[in-house]
Amino acid sequence: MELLKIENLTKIFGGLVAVDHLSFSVKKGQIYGIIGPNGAGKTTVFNCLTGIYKPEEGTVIWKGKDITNYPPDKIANLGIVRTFQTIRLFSDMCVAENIMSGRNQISKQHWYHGLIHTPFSKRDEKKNWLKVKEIMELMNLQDYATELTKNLPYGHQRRVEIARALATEPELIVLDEPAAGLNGHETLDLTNLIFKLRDMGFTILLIEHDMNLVMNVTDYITVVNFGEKICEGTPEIVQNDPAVIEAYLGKEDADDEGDEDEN
Amino acid sequence: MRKSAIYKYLVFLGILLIYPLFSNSSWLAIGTTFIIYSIVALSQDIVLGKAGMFDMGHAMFFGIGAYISAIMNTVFNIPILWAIPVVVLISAIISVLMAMPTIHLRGDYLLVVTIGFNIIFQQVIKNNVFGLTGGPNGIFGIERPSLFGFEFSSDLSVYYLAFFVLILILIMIKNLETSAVGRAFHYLRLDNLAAQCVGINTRFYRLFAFALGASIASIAGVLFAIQYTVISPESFNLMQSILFFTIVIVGGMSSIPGVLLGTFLMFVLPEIFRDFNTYRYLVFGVMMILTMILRPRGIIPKKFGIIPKYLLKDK
Repeated sequence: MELLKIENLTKIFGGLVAVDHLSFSVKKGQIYGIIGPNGAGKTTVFNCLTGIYKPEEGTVIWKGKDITNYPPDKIANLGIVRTFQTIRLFSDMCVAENIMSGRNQISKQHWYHGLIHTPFSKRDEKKNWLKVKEIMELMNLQDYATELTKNLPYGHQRRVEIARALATEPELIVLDEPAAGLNGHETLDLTNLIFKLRDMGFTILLIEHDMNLVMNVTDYITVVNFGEKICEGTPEIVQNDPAVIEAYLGKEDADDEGDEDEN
Repeated sequence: MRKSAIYKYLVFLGILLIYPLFSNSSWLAIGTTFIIYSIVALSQDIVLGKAGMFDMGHAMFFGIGAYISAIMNTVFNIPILWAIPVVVLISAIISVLMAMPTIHLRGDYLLVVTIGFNIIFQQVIKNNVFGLTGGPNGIFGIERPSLFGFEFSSDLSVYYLAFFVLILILIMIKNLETSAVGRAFHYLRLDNLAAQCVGINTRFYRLFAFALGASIASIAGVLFAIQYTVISPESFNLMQSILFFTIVIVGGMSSIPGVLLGTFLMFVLPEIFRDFNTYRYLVFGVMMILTMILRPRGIIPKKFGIIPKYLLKDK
């Protein structure tokens, strides 16, 4: 079943076509990767998908419904939640409070519960905090519950950001370069986490530069260059595609060969 | 709430409770105004400290409360406490209408817009609109209220009326801190985009913060009208807005003890040093500068990381 379908997506900044008639679709339960050289327009695709940018052309279809031009909060409430390449946490707040932000729209409290607590709002409050506890245990963050996130190491901050996304009870998790800035050990943890999330029934769409991670975890890949799709398929197909090798992987290969020649 | 924090609030409220025993009539008036200004500062803090919107026109809502209740009382002979629901409703509506086209503006732009509104408000009341606002002299002869047969005619009774309202407002703000709405304010202040991307309708919460702040300030305005029985435009001018804005910044954004201390420092302290005449404002200015250099997040900054006990890992 197609969960997310992007058709002919085009985003133009001034004279620059950042995304050029890009189409792809993500099936339920997939781990879908979008790769491409720097500046290929990957993050722009995510920004259009999550409502931060308005695309010039094209449609975003979520479970058969056109959600193009929806605002970010509405899209998040439909079950698409994202993380950011440069981590965006509420850095003055602690880990538990950060994760609680994901529960904000799930909470059934009304505006007047901000003024007067009722037995209902107290129950609701407790229920959501307990859910936060559950997520912290899942993500191995319970030791840092009251730690301010700005004091945490980078790898932990990533985990908090993913935990916050999970708290919104999403269907599709959009990860923007989740391995950026992580060391080898942390990347390995991340790989395991992504598999774990898939096994829990989440669908995952990710942008990544770490080729090992992408080839390991993804089921299906779209390769983007200069905003255009140049190839799509399983990791094996993509790895052997001449256009991809030329645009992306090829550079490294050429360098390697060059080195060998010199030796 | 932590036990130590509860004790601190009880001590603070205890001092306010017995304060009239040790004060003469002029100090009682200062005490009453301190409580009223605290309420305005706490409402400014909802907009500025919690939701992070640079509202430099908050005295306008304080003034709307005072003027509408005064007009209702003096022109239409309505008991002034009956004005409270009307005042709350009107200022909430005005704040939302004012904020709707401007709320998406970045901090500094919003600041200029709110200053503009404050100046317009000043001009409106100074020019005796519809012959209701009394022009530069303001409105006098506002009646003290009565409730269940009790007349709030003495200054002491007005002090305790204001004290009672302050307690209600403090309880309400404590509730706000432990609710989804209150947390949403913090989220959207710290990172608006991240808050939106976890599904928080930040526009709604911004408008709500504005309406809530305006309503509470207008209630304080009614109390102000009751206390002085005379109101004039100067009490609600831009300088007053700057005072409330500074109280929050100097005291500590979204910190209740900070805002209360800020009100004390910025309003009561200058009164204590009244004998030093103009020098007091020199000291005052230097103090503000030093606070910002030494404690840029306010004298008592807000502490985060206070979460329910059952969340902490068992050790």
